[in-house]
Amino acid sequence: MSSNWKVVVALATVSAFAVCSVAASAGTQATARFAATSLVPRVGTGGPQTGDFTPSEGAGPVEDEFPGEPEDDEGDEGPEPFDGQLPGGISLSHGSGKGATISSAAKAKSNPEVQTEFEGLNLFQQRYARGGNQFTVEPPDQALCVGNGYVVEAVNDVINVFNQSGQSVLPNNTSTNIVSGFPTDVNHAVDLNSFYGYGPAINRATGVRAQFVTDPSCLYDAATQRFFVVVLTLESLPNGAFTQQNHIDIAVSQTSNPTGGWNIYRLDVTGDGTNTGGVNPGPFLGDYPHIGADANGFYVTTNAYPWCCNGFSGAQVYALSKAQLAAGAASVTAVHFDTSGTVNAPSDAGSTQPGFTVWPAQSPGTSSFETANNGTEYFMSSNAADEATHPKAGTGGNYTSSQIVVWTMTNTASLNTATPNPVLTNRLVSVNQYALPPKQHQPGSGTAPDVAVPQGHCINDIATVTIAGVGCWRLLFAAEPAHNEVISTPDSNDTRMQQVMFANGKLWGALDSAVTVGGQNRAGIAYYVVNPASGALVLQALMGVAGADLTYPAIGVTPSGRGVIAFTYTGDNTFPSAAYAPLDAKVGAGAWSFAGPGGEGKAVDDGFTSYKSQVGDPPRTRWGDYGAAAVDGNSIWIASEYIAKACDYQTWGGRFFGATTGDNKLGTCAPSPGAAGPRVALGNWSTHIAKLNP
Amino acid sequence: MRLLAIALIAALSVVAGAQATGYRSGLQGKVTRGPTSPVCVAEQPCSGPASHLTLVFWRDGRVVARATTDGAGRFRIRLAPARYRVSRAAPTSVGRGLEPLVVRVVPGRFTTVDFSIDTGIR
Repeated sequence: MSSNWKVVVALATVSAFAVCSVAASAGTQATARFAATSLVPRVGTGGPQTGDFTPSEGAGPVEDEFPGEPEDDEGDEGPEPFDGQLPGGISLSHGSGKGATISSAAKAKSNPEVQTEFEGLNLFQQRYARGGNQFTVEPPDQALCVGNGYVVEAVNDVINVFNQSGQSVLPNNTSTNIVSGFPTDVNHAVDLNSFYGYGPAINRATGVRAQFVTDPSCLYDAATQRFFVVVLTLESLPNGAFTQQNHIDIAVSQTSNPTGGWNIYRLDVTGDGTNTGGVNPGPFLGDYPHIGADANGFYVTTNAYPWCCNGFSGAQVYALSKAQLAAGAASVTAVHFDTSGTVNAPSDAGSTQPGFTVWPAQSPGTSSFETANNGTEYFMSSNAADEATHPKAGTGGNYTSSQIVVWTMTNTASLNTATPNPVLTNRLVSVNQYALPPKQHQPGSGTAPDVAVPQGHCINDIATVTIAGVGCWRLLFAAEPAHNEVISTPDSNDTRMQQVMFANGKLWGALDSAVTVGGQNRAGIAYYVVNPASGALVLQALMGVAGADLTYPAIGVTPSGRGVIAFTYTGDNTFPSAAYAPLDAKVGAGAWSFAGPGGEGKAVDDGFTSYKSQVGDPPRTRWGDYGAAAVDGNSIWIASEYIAKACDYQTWGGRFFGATTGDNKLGTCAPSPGAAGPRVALGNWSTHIAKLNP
Repeated sequence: MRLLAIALIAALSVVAGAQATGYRSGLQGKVTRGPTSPVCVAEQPCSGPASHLTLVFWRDGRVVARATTDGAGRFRIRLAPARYRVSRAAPTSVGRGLEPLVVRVVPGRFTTVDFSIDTGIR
């Protein structure tokens, strides 16, 4: 066990309210890293009501979504895929079977069953909210929070509020949601641009684009009875080009009812990062924001990438007064820490590393917070990625590590004073080796898409008679693509830390890792339970299933220490599904299960990022980029990406193949114009929400 | 995003160190970096050119050639017909920072192979 402490120093540079905070005690090292305080203004109000828009009238297959010029691929002698074997591989198989068996003799102290399950937001709702003035996007990026009887879900780029039975409690907006001439059912979903008070993501009549909103996260704080929804917003020119200015938008419900008004705070992150090695100057992108809270503070962390270059500019940590946010203060003081150069491990920038995906902890209920040291918030991160080991070059690492990083911010009560003075430290904790996982396999990966995979089949097709001519590809492209698409291998995550909780006095987190199981190198999950006060590792394990891939874990833990790990489960014979395993701090994870009968996927991922002709060769099939778990009393709600419904090729083509029934939009598989469809032409992701009582 | 600002109009220029010459076979293509946006949108690029990046070609455990991309991320290199392991200038032992990691050069032609690099943006 390492006890390698570093202290990140927050220095006041702009605000008269700030004070110098240097904490260098025995065994610690102060850094030369500077941070600042600033005032984060309340810039307005928002909420789940659709904003103004021009109805989308185009009757074309998918309106303006055709790339037009496919990639020229003459490489019929293509490269052979990397075999994916991890030298000296990790071999800690843990569970297997559909909730039936587990290799460990021990059983988790709970064996929760799904109490409620329903399909959450999906790509159809995303694409056709706000009158269709939205984009087809991948991946969804799962946000979920639960409290006061409400289930709030957000993804790229829509939001919905459900009751605990899964019905949307937002106003039914179908009659005004006109798409291609018909009122269109998006299950009341509201686009995030509307939620934050921005114009339509794209005006389909003019092509003008507004702000680009992405990476939602959600948290319900039982102590203040407020919901928090946070996104990264990229400022754009009307043609969609990014200006490079970007900010974290923090929405806070004005009451305990998330269907009402919300206050919007804007935290500009454009200038926040370190010019690593002198070769990665700003401005920076504040990527992958995630949130947490303790009794006193609300915390946002980002990964700062330079817009210009190849490197990494450090995880950024922002601490704000939770009480001030909850009260709707006109402005809130934020204390900002740049983690560059603060982790005592070598990198290409010297003897230290930056933090990478420093995920702040959230705690269940109102009494699980750490109150020591005048209030404490914990974070966790990992350091196998190039961002940690090669922040200067952005490349060159071996993507494996035997360390995680535990971060501690003390004196958080000072966030509620005129002189906020929190102190951030970190320590390295030795763990078993983890490594970058291979991509996920789904049924048929690498083979030609059949009629059950309609977009891929369409791109390859040269025989179907369509309204655009012979060959389905004509519905999607202006110029003929190569007809050699295959069923994809969706992205696994890298090894960055995923959702972190502080519950029952322990810190819980998980990440994606390679695992050798059943003689194969597959995507698995490494999870950790840490005593953050001592730095002692309470429990760790690497879980994997033969013939399957487990990705994007999200841990939820009740105040009594009963937990659940949610994740996406894909297999050689299993479509991308929403699954979970019980977890406790004594025996670890138990047998896995689908998140209810509805959590089992029904088709392969058929999204546009799977295909060379859509995104270039080789394609990177986006998935994730994170799951979510939310604790409500003694219940844990989980949400994961999956493929909810199948749709065959003929139904996908519908009227565009000469049928007289079906939607007037290509590829939705909806039974009639305006009816809810299970997918869109260029993708089919969905999200699944389930409630468990561990 | 991180490289989109790089001009796309630079002329094709290949730097090939330790390159085998005289072969009528080889590789050509482009190297892209992605994702360049936290979420990919069907109507706009999600990757950009990896300009001035050096690919290293390995055979039987030895470096046999290097190729550096131009400003548009393109490369072209003569190579003997064979299978090659490919890395960036700093070799990687595991992982998928560069894809693909193995390529095959066939006799008598330049095979088009496009590479991608993970930016880490999500």
